[in-house]
Amino acid sequence: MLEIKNLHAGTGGAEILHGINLEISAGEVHAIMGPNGSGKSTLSQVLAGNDTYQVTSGTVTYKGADLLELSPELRAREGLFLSFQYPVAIPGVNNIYLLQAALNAIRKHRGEEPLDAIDFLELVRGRIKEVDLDEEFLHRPVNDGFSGGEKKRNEILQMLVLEPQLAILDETDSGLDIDALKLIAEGVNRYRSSERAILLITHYQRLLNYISPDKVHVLLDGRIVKSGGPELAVELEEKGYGWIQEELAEKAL
Amino acid sequence: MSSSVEISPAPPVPQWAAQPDAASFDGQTEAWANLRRKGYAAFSRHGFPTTRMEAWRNTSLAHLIDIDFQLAGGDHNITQAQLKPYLLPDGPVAVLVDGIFSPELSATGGLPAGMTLSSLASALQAGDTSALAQLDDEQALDEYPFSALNLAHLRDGVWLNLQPGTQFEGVAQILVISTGSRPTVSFPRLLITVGENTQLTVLERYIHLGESPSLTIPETDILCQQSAVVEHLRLHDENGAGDHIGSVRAVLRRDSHLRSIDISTGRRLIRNDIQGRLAEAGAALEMSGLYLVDGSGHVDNHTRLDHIAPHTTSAQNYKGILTDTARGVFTGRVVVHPEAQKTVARQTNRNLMLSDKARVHTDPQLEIFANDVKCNHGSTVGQIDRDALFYFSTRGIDEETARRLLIHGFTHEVVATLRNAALRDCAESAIDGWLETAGLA
Repeated sequence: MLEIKNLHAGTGGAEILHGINLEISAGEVHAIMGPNGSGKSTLSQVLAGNDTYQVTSGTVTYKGADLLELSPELRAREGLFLSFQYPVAIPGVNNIYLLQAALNAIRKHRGEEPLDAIDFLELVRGRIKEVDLDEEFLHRPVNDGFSGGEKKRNEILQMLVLEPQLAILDETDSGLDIDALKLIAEGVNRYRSSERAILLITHYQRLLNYISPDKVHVLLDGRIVKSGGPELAVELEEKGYGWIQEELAEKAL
Repeated sequence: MSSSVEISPAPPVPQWAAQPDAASFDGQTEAWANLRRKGYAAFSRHGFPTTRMEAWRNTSLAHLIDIDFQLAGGDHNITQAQLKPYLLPDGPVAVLVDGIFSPELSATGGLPAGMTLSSLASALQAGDTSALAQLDDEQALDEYPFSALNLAHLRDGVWLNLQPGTQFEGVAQILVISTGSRPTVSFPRLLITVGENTQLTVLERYIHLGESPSLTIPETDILCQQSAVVEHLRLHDENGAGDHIGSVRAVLRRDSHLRSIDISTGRRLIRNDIQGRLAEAGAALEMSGLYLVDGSGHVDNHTRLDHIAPHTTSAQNYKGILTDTARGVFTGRVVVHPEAQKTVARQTNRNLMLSDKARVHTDPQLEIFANDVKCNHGSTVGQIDRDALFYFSTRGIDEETARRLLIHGFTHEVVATLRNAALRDCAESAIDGWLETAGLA
């Protein structure tokens, strides 16, 4: 579904990603772990199409097409979704207007009729229960005055409504208490299917206690330096990132 | 040795602002005529405003001086059908054509007992001293040249009156039309007086029919007695040919509450001189405005709120969207008098600039002479939030839709304060209409 080859990208002339290689197939859940500043969020923003970042070389193929050629809205309509680490507050725009505009833009792209207000509300009412939010939440301005946990749940609510094929969850676990974390993990687990892929980007292993990934990658200084199974995440939790840096230093000698 | 003092010549007074001719006093009572003379004397003391006057520093009227605006006579061939797009499906309406009350276009039947909506001239003709007294205001004459000029040309207008205890559940509409196959000037006067324990919702709407330029110099006075609750929306639907220099004067007595919102749209000159007086304890005033300006339009909101009595509250929220080469001006003066302890005054002015050639001047002025008060103000000038646009795009939403949602979001804060749903709908359609004509929808 997603194939990243030798991706170099950065911002303001400074390169942050120094050649990323990653392949994710439908049905898989991958986790990218790394310390702060390793380039995790840059990777997610580049994949979503944030033009603050420039790709200097490499390719990204998504469902057989060149992802980097697509505008952010076309990427979204083609089923790519980014759950933001820090979603922006938009005062004055009600959450429900955003959701409806987004869903209908995506449906139109698929050649489907827009949902009328009644069907739309029915769909959203079903999904909002899964993230344990009150319906009143839909009528609040997008992310404006939301707590950290509410922002993350709102991102997951959007994912559940928009039903993307590739969901990138950027630090969705940060700032969540254990109950909220379990709730979001359950939502993501229900979301898993053989047609969908999920890329979890996280600093800590704790989310992976509840969402078992097929593959774990370690991102250090803009490179994927180690890949493995779920056991790699456990090892990172126990030993931190230092041992990998040492291992790399030894190899370099 | 001699010293010379440079005396600037008095700026020219355009012919349309000259002394009213003698014939215009025909048929008016002596008291009425005297009030008009008082108005013109006050205007003469001010002179015609130029950018050398502090209150007019950012708004030039130079383009109006040489236009041969004629005082319109009130004769017209406007039909009810023409007005339909500007009226609510039902409810009373008073129509002024070039400042003159039109009985045939107005619909003022079926009002509850204690409520009247009628011609101001009829009341003045009948020698109604209460109406005359309400129109005579020293502070307005001293500070506002166009309030004085409006009084000097007082011929007619609308008087909306609620007797004490009258609750009106509907929306009273006042439609102010400027016409003209030639350039016309008019001086409409809107007098809204509400007695104790009353409730009123008013829609005041300005439209321009006709191809020639027009200049409307109206004044709206809203006088709220004890515990009156009033909601007031002022819409400017004059098209590009209609310039507007208007005044709003609100006086609030004990525990009265007025929410007044102005929506100024378009590509021409609009000046709103807004004065609010919180005269007795418990008075609460919300004065807000949206100015949505495109082309080479210029909208200037100049507010002055006086907290005269203790325990009074004011909130001002003015928001502007400016595109093309538009200009916006906001001057917000709040004066807290020495007696006005426990005053709460809040003022914000936010501006969204959609073009790098648009400009805005924002000037909050707080003058506080009491020590136990809560006052704050803030102003911002910014562009559309790029992060918000990107966020929308990652949800599949195209840029045009995203911009429209963000612009609506920006105006929503003001519109949402309206309690009356019909007024909210009018406000929303005025905003939509502007977005369309400004090429933003």
